[in-house]
Amino acid sequence: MKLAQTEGWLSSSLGEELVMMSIDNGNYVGISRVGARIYEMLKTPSTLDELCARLVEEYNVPLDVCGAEVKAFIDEMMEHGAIRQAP
Amino acid sequence: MSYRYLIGGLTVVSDVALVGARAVAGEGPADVWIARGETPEELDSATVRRNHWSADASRVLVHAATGRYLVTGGREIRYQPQPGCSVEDCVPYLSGSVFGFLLHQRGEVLLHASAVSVGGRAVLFSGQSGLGKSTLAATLCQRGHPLLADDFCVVTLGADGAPAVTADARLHRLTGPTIRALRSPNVMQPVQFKLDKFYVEPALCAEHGKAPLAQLYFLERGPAPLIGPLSTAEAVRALQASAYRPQFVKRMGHAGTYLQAATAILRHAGMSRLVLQEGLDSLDATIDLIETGTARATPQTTGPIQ
Repeated sequence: MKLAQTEGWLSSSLGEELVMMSIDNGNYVGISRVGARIYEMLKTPSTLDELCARLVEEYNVPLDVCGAEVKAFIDEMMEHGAIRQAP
Repeated sequence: MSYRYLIGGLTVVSDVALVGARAVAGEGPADVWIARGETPEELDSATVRRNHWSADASRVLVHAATGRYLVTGGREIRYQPQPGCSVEDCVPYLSGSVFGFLLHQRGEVLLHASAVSVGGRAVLFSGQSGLGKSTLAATLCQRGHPLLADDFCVVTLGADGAPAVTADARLHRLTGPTIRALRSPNVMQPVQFKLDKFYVEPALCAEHGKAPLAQLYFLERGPAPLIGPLSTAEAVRALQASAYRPQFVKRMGHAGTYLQAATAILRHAGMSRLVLQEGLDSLDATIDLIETGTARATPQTTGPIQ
């Protein structure tokens, strides 16, 4: 399953955070620096495995830890509607 | 005959005297022109239609009881009084809500707020009409803090991202009870079409220019005066809601500009709740809180979003 950014979200950085806002429903999400990097990667639709392969390299974390944390982050962002399944 | 003013940092030339606006000397090109003329009954090319206004990419047509107002390209306002209405009846709209549309067309961050300068830094009060924005500004003014803006505030971000407020107010607009409570000596004529409001000469007016933003207070009613914190998410949401005509901001695709302004204010200044008691009895206690809070205010550190 490929994942991608949902259209219609605006973002602005606040220190280490990225504040995101949905234009349609006014929903707000604040994400960390790593979360912001994951979100940026999803400009290009990617699978969870593809994301993890890049993050393991960039942040020097074990693959199993990375997989669990990225999945939790993606689930939460999908719940907010900020990330979607790419067709 | 033409008149020249400074509104929202822009030089405005008008064919009618704009009571409450800040007059400036000079001649030559202006940023904005206001003149009486024919306006269309409908904006055929409108992409957004609301009860009292419609808009396309470069024009807004406003329908009001006093007249029709066509705002074009952030540079021109043409007005046509309704039968039975005078040019003067149109003035509060021309320098108020209609001018707000023009500032939006120019992409400015425009807040429904009043502001004073405390120690050279701007303190803003935002909230629904009737909550006491102008009353707080007028009371602080009487305590020696110059008036910066009344009813709407233009917030700009500097090269370093720091927010500042443009000084443009000349007069307060206050209700009878507030005027009596403050014993305001310089009451002028009523504000047209707002019969319970009067123009009042402020005790002190800030000079032209901008004041760095220190605190933005969002007003609400409560049992006792209180300044309370806001989470990042609450602050961002409150700023969007405080836009002058938030629906216009949303429909015209300017929400991102307000999000950037919100994060800039959180980074460089502060946003808080200000709880006000009903009536004017606790006004002095509230003003004490604001003066103390502003003296202590430092840029907020960011925390997790809640």
